[in-house]
Amino acid sequence: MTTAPRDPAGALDETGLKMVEILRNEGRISIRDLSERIGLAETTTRDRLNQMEREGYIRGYRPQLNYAMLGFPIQAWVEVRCRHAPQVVGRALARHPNVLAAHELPDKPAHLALRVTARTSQNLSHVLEDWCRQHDVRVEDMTLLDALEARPVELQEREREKDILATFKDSRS
Amino acid sequence: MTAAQMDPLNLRILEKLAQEGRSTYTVLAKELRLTINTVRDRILAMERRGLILGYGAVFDEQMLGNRVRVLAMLRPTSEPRDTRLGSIEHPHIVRAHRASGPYGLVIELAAPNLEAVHEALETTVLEHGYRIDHFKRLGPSPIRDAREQTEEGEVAWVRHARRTGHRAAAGGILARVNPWKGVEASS
Repeated sequence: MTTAPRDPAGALDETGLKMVEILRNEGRISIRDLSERIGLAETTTRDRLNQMEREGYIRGYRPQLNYAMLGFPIQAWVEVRCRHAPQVVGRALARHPNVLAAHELPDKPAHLALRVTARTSQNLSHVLEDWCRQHDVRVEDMTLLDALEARPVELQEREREKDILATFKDSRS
Repeated sequence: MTAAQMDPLNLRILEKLAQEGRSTYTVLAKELRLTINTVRDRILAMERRGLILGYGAVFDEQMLGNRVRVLAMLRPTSEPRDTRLGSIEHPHIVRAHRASGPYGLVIELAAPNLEAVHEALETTVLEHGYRIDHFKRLGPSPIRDAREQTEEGEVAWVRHARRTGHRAAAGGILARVNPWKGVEASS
């Protein structure tokens, strides 16, 4: 069994970090391509990947969805202040289908940061109003995100815009 | 968007992919009881249409030694904003979004310390006409949904869409179907 050299903090070596960089956005990359990119033999690459999965560095792989094309063009980071325990409220909100991620804020004990999707801006306000009532939270800050960029910002942006426009036209005809 | 874009079959495939995004077409086909051709054609079509933007490994950031997780709020500087940013890839960058409002970019990073965060931004976006406005420190990992045991919403989202019969295909992005009962405007 190959063992990745790691410092006492459990950090990965340079090759490990390179694998992390690649796999963050290319989860389905073939072993062959991955091995070429990191400059190791295919078998070594496969071993290291298996090891990262086995030891729990990698929790899984998932598709990065274009929520805009799925009918949810609004995406935002929303910061809320909780009247009740943020852990408990956070767990409840993490279950909400419009919430993509919920985080506690270490510097602000009673706050949560949530990444939220919505169908329209009106839908977003309704979702937030709903939370205010049900969970006694107050919205304190919000940053609207460009939902087209669900993955690292890329050059093909314009093409995607065209796609969305085509979708829009299709849906109206 | 073709009519078949988000039919129940595509949602089933997406749900499976959300659970095991690295499985081969053969394995996916077997588990979904579909032919390999069907699975491959559907997935490739969703990728081509841009519905699937890519695939990402989900890391245990704590195990990677990334104890600090932040949202970096970046403002464009007075120089013309470089829209041809290229893809932002770095082991410490979890995701990057363009944003509306004062911040041109919002980047989520996971790193061992703030120094590494600065370094990651330095080598990726600070040269391209952006400056750091401020950081929001996040908890090291997303809060887990106790029931679904998922850390982030993508898996739950697809499951929910499937359960509630999300039919974006029927009306495109203006679909009148409301998969999120109770949270939608009644008008």
